[in-house]
Amino acid sequence: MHVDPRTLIRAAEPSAVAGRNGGPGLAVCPSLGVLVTSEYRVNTLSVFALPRGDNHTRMRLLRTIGGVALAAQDTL
Amino acid sequence: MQPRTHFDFSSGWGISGALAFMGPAAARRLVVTDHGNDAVHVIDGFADIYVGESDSCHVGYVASPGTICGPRGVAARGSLVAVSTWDFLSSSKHITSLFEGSNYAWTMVRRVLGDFQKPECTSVGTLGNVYRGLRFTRDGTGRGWRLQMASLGASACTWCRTAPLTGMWARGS
Repeated sequence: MHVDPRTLIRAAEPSAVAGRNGGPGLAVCPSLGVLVTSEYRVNTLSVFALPRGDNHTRMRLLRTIGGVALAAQDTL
Repeated sequence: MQPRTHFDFSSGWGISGALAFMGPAAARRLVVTDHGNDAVHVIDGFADIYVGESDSCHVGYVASPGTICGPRGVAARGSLVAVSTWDFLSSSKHITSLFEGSNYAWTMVRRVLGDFQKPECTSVGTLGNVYRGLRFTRDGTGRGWRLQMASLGASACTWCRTAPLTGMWARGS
């Protein structure tokens, strides 16, 4: 799977996860097509689907791990 | 019984929650530092991300709760996982621990202390206090990896050659 680095940079911007108390951890796995952030204020991991194809403007929250479950939603 | 995914990234001094993927592409797993529980978690289940309870994706530990003091940063490469640890930022030792293993069995094979003058290291001098930043890079010989450690308050990284694991570590900066 090809991932445009600019997409990852945008994904890593605070605006992508600020509303979810993002940080400090961030890891990307292109082979799985996911980006994971840790969110220290709520003690959760958030798993986002990396954009595919030409749609490089939205990342979809797939699930949260730990803490209080949050509903899946789009970000960016 | 508390769920294993009851992380604590923010209690006490500083924060944790550093992340690194490890393992082959077909079986990637996520390593997570959790200083509140003094643990380093292994998370799986990204291949079938839409199913399962939150705790079901927790498949084990690189360091079980209570066996490592204040894990902060993490890096992974092949069968190696490096974890930087400290309890108090300015008054406790900063230690980088290197684990080797896979899936459910991990063994600590190296500990690098902040003062860098312990027998397992070859050189004297000071390894600045590693805050979180760790990264594996090729060591230039094609045989192993360097573990680069970013020091708190310093503009340079210190590195250790990680192969062979049983030998003395080289050091540079």
